[in-house]
Amino acid sequence: MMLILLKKHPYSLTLVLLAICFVLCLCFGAVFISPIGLFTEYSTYKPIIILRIYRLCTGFIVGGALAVAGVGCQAVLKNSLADPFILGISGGASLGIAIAIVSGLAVTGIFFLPLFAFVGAIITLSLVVLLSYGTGIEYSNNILLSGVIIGTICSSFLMFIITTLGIAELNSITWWMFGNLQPGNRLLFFIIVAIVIIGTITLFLYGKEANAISVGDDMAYFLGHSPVKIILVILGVSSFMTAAVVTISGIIGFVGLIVPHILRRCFGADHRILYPMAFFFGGIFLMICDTIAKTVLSPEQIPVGVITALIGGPFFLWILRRKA
Amino acid sequence: MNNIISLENVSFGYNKQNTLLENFNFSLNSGDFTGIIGASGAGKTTLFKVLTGLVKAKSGNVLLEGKNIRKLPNVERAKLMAVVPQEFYSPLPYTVKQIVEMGRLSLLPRIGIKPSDHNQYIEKAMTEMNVSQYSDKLFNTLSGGEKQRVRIAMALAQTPRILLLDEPTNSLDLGHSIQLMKLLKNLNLNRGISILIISHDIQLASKFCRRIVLLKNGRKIADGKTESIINSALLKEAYDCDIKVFEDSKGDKYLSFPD
Repeated sequence: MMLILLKKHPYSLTLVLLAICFVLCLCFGAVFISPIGLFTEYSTYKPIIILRIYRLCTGFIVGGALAVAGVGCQAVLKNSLADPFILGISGGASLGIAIAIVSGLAVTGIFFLPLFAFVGAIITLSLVVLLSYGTGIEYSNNILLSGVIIGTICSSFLMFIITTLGIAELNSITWWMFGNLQPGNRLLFFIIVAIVIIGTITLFLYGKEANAISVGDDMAYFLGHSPVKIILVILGVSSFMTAAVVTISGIIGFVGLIVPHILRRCFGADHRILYPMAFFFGGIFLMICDTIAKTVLSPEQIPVGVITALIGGPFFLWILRRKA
Repeated sequence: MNNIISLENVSFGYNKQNTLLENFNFSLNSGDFTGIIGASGAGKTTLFKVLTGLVKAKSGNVLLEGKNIRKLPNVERAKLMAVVPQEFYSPLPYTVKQIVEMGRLSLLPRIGIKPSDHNQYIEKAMTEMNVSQYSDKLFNTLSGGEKQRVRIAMALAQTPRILLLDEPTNSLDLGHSIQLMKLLKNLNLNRGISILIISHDIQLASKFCRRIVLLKNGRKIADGKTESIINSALLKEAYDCDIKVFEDSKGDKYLSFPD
């Protein structure tokens, strides 16, 4: 029933769902505040509510970006198992950020973090594509394998960098590595929001091209498109968005895998509807995961990446078995 | 008759050493129904790639309506020529209607509303290929014959002047192959769409194509009206085996393979 209504009025119902989830997620944390209490006792809980709003917004933007990037990667690579995390894009971006921090460039200018993250992501993606290029019909699977390998190499370098850090830095970077939506630099946050919104709109405008490329590079050409241009735009924008959100949230895996897969079952594979839906539902998904992460062992907090991995790992295996 | 597509002294090879096509000349006239046949490795698929502009010729010109195919804007090329490749699969769960609609996506504006006739072209293409009843079904759940009709409907949605098909009856049983070839013949006669098929099925090609091009080792060994090409001597030269050709009172050709 809900699904039929959602298919009929996708945008309005998604916005209603987003509003409901946002209010409910605001209630949970180390201190429970009832939905009515959010309004009647606002002055009492003001600092907590503001902090939670900021954190939920971060979760929404990060989740939305990762899901949209996942949709893009899956269309271009014609593989529903592709996502920025599995392709090593997140790992490359993290390594870029770690280098920016260790080299001291991160403190000289706030723009160095997203810049290094993007360079790391693009280098990783280029390596993954080059390693898999020319492997014929196995290309789609090889690109995933190359992604996993390059991602692991990036992690090893990251580990090496971590061993050179002091105790205080070690604690913060460990949290960041496993995914952390704690509020950070506000200017950086707004820069990332702008990148994510522009990226999502760009990919949405490339929805018809994403449809064409998802049935084959040659086919996209026959249908009147330029496959090279489509691949560059979609993978480039997806990498840029991933790199941007990794800057503020660290590595959060599987969002770009789970959300697009479920959405395709609800709304079908048309990317003109999939991109905006992925943005909203990716955001909602990560907001919920983060609420679980900060509530389940309250007052202790679990990195949100642990929650997404605990859901995403079995989900990945389930898709793999279905494909087989 | 005017040429829709023509190859002028085209040579092609994947590297400098090998040449798969050499000084190849070919033209397809408006309204033609032509079949390109030949043994495996004769250069059929290479010729298909060169004809569609998918690969760049080493030398010579590939012209679509008199213009270099590699320099034509993508949308303009797609409006003139639609292609049904041998391999087409959908890794994502598209419905039949969404697949057919892909034929018109390049014509849609990036921002703004769809042209008023957008859906009409899609419906018409689906009706012509008799796939309207599967409109909301997932493409991947269809049978081989149904999938092939959907692929052709997608190509028709482009409203092309020429339709190129690579091994259209490959993996289809005889019944579905005949049904498909009849649909192509109707498109050719009733809609005036020029059709070029690459095929390894001599029997079907000789029945439905009005013109046959026979390839061997990247060379054209014969090109002309079907009745003049389908004969034992030329087929022996092309396929290196004895093939007997019989003709009935209607002029239809039948093949037999002696021990």
